[in-house]
Amino acid sequence: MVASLQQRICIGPEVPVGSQDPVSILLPNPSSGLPSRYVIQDGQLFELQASDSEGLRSWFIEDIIQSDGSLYLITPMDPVFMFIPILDIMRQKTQSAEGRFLILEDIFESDQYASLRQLTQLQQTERDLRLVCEVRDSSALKTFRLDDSKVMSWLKRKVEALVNKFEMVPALRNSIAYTEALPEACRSDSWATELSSEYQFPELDKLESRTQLPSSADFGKRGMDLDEEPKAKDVKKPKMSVGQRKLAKASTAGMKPLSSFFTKKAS
Amino acid sequence: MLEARLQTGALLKKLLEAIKELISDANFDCSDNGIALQAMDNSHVALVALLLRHDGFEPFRCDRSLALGVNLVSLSKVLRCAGNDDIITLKADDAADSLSLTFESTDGDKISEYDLKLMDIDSEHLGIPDTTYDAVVQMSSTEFARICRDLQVLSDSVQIDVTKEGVKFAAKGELGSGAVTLKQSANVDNEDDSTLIELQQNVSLNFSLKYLVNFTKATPLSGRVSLSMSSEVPLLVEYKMETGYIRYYLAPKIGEDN
Repeated sequence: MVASLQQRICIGPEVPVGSQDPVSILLPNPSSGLPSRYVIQDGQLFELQASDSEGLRSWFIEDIIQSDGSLYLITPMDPVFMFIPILDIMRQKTQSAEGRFLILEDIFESDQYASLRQLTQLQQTERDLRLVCEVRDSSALKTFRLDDSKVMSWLKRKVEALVNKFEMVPALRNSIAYTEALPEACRSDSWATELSSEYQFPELDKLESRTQLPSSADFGKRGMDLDEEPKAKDVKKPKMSVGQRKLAKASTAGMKPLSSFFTKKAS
Repeated sequence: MLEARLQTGALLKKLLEAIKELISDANFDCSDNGIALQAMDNSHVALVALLLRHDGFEPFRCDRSLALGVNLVSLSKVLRCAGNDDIITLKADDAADSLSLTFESTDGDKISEYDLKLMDIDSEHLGIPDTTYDAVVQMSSTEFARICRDLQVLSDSVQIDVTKEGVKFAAKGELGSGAVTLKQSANVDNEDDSTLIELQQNVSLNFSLKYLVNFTKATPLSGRVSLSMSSEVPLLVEYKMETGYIRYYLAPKIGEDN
């Protein structure tokens, strides 16, 4: 189906009549940790992807030419993939402690991603969290904490579902299904290793280097500035004034350093 | 130890505005001569040297030479807390790890005290010889700032030609080209706006406009600016103040014909 969304060319799932307006939000990509666009409509999460036309392509729409030549793709996404890395950081698990139980509102609280809160409004947030979390029901509050064994069994079910899809193409079965499911879901190295130990794939070593899974430490640094991560980038970056930043862009071609004109003085 | 009381705090504020756009950290070298600073920009093609002579302060006391390493952005932020008419006193002990600043309002009713952490900065000082330049142009500093800003629209570099008739600033870029010529003015009535040229030999040199525009941040310090040039040596842009100076040196662009 082709729908025009604010004069953009977009391929997405069919929208039932009387749906809410889609909300576009910025969230940390569970695979890369970088901010990415997502769409929430009728309590469902969608991933938004755009083919970048780099300003070189345009669209013809009837007799109008539209300068933005990008093609947008909206695909449904299982929010659990989104939850796992967030839950993993928020529980603050250490070697000695299992981590914290948190209420729904606290899990999706981030200074950097204000839209994270929108995830609490999904249709089945609570049910989805139960899939991978240990839940404590007290009279007034429900609290959640990521449960490693639940994550593993959930991931295995995902892999199996994919494997079944690929069943019809036996050549793909062993390698592709596993590696495609993995980068999506497994932010943490420990899960990657654990999951791979469940399956025996001789080709995996070769593929591992191709996919280059980023570590969960990267996720914290690049994607979400959560408190536990030291803000290394802020410390290292030297303060530059506006003028200095402008000068940094100035071309110094043909200019010799001043030390070639003036001699150094022993101070 | 250092103790320096500056009647017109605005001077220090303007000085900081003039250098913080070029360098981030620098040592203030304090001696009985006054307070000096020399530092190069990140690319090492420009250098700033400033001096506030001891007689600009009342009183000025510096028993032993001190190098106070300061982050200039931080210092300029602290100085923004001072009023333009405030009297500023700088103090530092011999082995101090911080610089103390006191701002007194003119009526003496308000006193603000700030301490700024110092840092260790490795600085290499360049010995700059006193040279006779082929051409020295003295002109209005606001005019110079205006010309640099205007020509920046056209190009990243400017060609400066000095002859005995006048000085010509020319820029050529993709948009087109432009040139501003200032004639050596005969009228001595309006000294601030006049253009004076001392010439040994005609010069024609290319300079980065981004850097020149950066130097013109010092315009509020002096109504006059002097440009000293010789072939294939750095340009000297000097703003003279009553009790000191700020000098910028910039390497010429060589091998560029535009």
